[in-house]
Amino acid sequence: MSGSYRKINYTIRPAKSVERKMLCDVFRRLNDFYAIDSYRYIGFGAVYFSDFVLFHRMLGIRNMVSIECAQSKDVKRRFEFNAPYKYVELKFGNSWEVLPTLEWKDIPTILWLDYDGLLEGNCLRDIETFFSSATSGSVCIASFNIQDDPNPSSGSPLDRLKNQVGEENVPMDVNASALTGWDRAEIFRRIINNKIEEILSQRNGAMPTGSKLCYQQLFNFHYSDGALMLTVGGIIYGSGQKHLLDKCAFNNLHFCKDGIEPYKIKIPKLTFKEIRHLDSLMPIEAGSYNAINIPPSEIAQYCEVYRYFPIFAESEI
Amino acid sequence: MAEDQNKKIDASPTKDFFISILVRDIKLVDAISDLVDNCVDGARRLRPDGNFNELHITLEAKPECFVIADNCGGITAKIAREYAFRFGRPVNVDNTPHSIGRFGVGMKRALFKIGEIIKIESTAPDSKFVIDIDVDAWKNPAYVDEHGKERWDFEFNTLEEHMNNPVKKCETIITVTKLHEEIANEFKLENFVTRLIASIEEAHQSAIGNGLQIVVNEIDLKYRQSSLLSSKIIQPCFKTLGIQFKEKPVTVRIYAGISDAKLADAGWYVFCNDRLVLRADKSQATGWDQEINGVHMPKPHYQFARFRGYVFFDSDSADVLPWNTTKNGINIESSLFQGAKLEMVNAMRPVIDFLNALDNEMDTESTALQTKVNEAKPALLRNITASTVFVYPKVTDTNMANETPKEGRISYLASYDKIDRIKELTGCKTNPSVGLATFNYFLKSMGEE
Repeated sequence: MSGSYRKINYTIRPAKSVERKMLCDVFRRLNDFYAIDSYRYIGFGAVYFSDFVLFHRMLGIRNMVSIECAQSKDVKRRFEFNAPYKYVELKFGNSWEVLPTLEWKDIPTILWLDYDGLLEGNCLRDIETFFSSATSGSVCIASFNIQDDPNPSSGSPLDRLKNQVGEENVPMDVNASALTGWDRAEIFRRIINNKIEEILSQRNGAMPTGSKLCYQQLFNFHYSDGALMLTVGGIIYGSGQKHLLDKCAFNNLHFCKDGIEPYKIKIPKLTFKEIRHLDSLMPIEAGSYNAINIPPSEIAQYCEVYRYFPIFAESEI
Repeated sequence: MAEDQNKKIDASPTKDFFISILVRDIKLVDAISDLVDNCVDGARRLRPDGNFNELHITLEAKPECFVIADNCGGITAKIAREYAFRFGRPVNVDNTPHSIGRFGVGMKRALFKIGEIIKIESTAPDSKFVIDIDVDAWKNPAYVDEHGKERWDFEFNTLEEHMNNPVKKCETIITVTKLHEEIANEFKLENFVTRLIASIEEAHQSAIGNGLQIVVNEIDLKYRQSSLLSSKIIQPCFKTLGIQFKEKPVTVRIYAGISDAKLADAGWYVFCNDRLVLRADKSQATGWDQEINGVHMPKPHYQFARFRGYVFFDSDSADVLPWNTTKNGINIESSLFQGAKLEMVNAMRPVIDFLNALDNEMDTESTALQTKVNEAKPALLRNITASTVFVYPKVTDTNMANETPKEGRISYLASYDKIDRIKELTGCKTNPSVGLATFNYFLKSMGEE
């Protein structure tokens, strides 16, 4: 949401692009809860609005809100200029300030908190807002860059984590060694899931048995587009709507992960010619990889993501 | 006779009062801490010297059951029969010196709060018993004696007496099943367990420090040592008062000083017989935001985030100490506490003065006071030597004026566009680290470093 859109053109980060399309595939299945084009999408569109364009084109979502924390008029104007459709309503401010001002009641919502930094207290505030307000069938996703500040201000990584998210949110058995590399992603996921369970438990306290809300994790993506990225999220549904959840059959999508095990998005390095060749052979049995003149590891990776694989080309539009 | 009967007014308690009313006044975390108190008292009886090595308390808080087990001596059949299950503490019961279980309400209240089926198994030096309590059946109006009178007793399920059990075999295991729904929901939450552990670690820091091992859901609790910053020129206040209160001797130890700038942790910590009963208090109860004996005390504010005060009330007669029954606060009206409060305010005032001066320094180029704070090292309370007042450096001190400061603060405003751009280029995530990175970059580019 803050400045990183100027560093990277989000549309051409290959793993991010695959992730976006995978999410889209999952959202399509929400139709069993509500017609997908009746959902609202809330995201941080930056100036590229890649997610907004994709979800509008593929899912027909029209109710869209993009949150940007721009302050100056010039910057705001740039966001407004780049909004791809009039459907996109721009809200300026920090997400934790804007989200509580939105109407949540009876509006099925997909919220993508696409942060580009570490997990902080304010992220947990956003998650609290969503899970204390969103209606059954809504989906919340949060993305983080899990790399630590190269010039950390002070204290150990564990102290900094406690400062960032609040000591009361850090499980007692987390130790310093769990905060390196991908292990940090798992700690973030755990802290977020704990917060979600806590909020839902409070919210459910006063609710009759059939309408108590449950959370089902759907996403636990790890990928590396220059930075180590984590995306976690899932759906809330009324306990009486388990059959709808089952009908969505999220488990049939190999990249949906409901637990600690992540789905690692890996981007094979292939030429256009190889891509076309592999496409023509689909489905490819694992046993036949050796017959193709491409490293088997690249083929295996391609088989997993080919439906979502971006093709970038230089062009003059 | 009939007239006499008419003059009588029924004031007897109902079971429901204990089972569903009293339990509302205590938070679950505090109720569990209360159970831990009983175990700690057991440890104190067993080891009056305070060395708790090899004693343990093991808790398990799961949605399907709650267990607390300890090897701190066990409950004797006599204690169980005459006292442990009474509601309220009989006046003629012997005191454990320095005890923290005081009111004869903690264990029952905690167990009733948690669930409906309670099993208590205990092995003491001279006895061994099992008691099963089905709360629902116990409160049923049909549970009456042969005269049709409501029964208030529990029964031993099994009981052996006149035994000679080795102390090492003495233990108590309390298991609660059929938990109340809201309690089971709490036990499901890892965040609840995190809070519970933090709370027990704080409340029982002294017992843990004395070697008592406490385990919650297989996590070993850590010893949280309270400390205050100390150096040659910053010295915490530490004074001890001996008070004869209601003819019983009470020792009050007061520490005041500074520590990390963390508002959530700032304030007064009050302990009764080494049990924390009030944490990080910044209310009028501990002297903030009021005028006492002509000393004006400020409202809590971020500039006082470094303030820490610790007060320990110790007595062999626990009944005179100023705690409330839930042990999560103080009995403010207690004249013992009122007397100590004056001393607390006196101890606190110089710390507040220093923190005000430190705050004022932020608006100047000087970092003399901040440097002194940075140089001070945390000292554990037990290592702090007596000093009736908080000793602190003043800007006007001659040695401060002569000293050339080693560090200076640079602060300036820059547009967020530019700050964000530098964050992108350097990977810095905070404004201070942007400042430092660009400063160092300049030095490096000039070949200085």
